[in-house]
This record gives sequence, C-alpha cells and structure tokens, in this order.
Amino acid sequence: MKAAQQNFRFDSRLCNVTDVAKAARRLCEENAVCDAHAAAVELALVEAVNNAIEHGYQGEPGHELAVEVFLNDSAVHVTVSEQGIGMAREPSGELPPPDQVNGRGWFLIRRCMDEVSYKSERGINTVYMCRYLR
Amino acid sequence: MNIAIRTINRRIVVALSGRVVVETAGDIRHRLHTLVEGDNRELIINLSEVDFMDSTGLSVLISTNERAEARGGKVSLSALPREIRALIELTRLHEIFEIFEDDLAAAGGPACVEW
Repeated sequence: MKAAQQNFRFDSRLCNVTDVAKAARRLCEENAVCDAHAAAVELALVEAVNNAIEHGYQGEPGHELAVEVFLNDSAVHVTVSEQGIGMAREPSGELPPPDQVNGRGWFLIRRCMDEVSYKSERGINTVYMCRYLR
Repeated sequence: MNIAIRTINRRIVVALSGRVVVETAGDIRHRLHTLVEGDNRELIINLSEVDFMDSTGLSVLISTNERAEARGGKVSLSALPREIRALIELTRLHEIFEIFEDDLAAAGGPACVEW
C-alpha cells in the first residue's frame, strides 16, 4: 500500500459531517484498508467532528474545522482541529451505564482507535487519533 | 434517512434506513417519541437498512426506550446489520434492549402483517 492523504476544511455545520466521513472511508477503501478498520476510523472521526461542532463551537455554524487523514501500511492517522472552546482536560472515555442517554462519544473514539490525544495550543484545539493496521 | 412504519401482530414496526447520526437524529427522535407517546408503547425498531450509526443515534434509541418504559412498554430491536450489532454490544445496550433476528420473532409469532 502506498501512503495516501486527504485534507478537509469545512464549515461547522452538522450536515457536513457525513460528507467528510464518507470521503475518509472511501480513502481507506481505495487503499485496501479492510472494512473493520475503515468502519472504526469512520466512527471515531464522526464522533470527534460532532464533538468539535457541538462543544467546541457550541453548535454554531460559520466556524472552520480541519480534518486530516493520512494512511500508510501500518496505520491510519486522523487529526480534527477547531478554534472554539477548548477542553480543560482530555475526557476519560468511560462507558456510561446502558440506560444513560448521552455520553458515549469519547468512549467510542477510544475503543475505535489505538492512540488518542488532545492538545490545545495558541487557540487551536486538536484531537489526534491513530488506528494500527495489524 | 427514511422511516417506514408497518404493523405485525398489532405491534408497530419502524424500519429506519440510511445513516442514524447527529444530522438526522432530531427528525428520527421526534417520530419515535411521538409513536411511543401515542398508543404504541411496544415498539419494534428494524435496523436492517441502517448503514451507519453514531453515539447520537444510540441516544435516540435509548431515549425512546426510556419513554416507552415510563408508559409500561418497551422497545425491541430487530434485524441488526453486523456493524450495528457490534456497536450495540460494545456499548452494552443489549442489556436494555431485546434483540431479534427479524420482525416476526420480535412480534412474537406467526404474522398478521398490515401495511
């Protein structure tokens, strides 16, 4: 597999999430990433972008998001960046009880990806995620 | 996202299709809550044509079940695609939903289908 990369810049509207997620999955599929890995990457990406729009920008359109997807033989790397309200610390990602309505986003991100980190520098908040292709 | 409704053995079956995600969740939530808050507290949700679901989609299922249970009913899930079943099990939602292979099994026997 050759290395491949795709970058996206888009407005903070929830209606843009599906297009970006589908494009990222297509990039994986076109580069022979198996279904299980591609599905996990898509879900983690959707959750991270949803969080960026709903929490980072409090659901407001008119702000920019950047997503970068890079893959090679060994892993798929995804970064999601926004310039909204940063988090004081990285969420733990614990699974809530089954009857709790919300709060599964970070749990899913952590379960889908092998490496997850969050940083906030100079007003730019970035989630980095990596799934190993083993 | 499409929503189709039919009746089997006097149980309402709601078939969702497409992506059940944050973008579509509001409409789906409204439709499902309206059903369980009417006379349909025993709801079967068929997910066979759902090709992607995120955590907001899961929230819609849970909140619908919560409302059904508050009225003495419940929500059952049927015909889960492999990826959706994996998501339900990963988040332990099989502990609150009964899951069936198909709508007939969920409706409890030989079918009298009304479209």
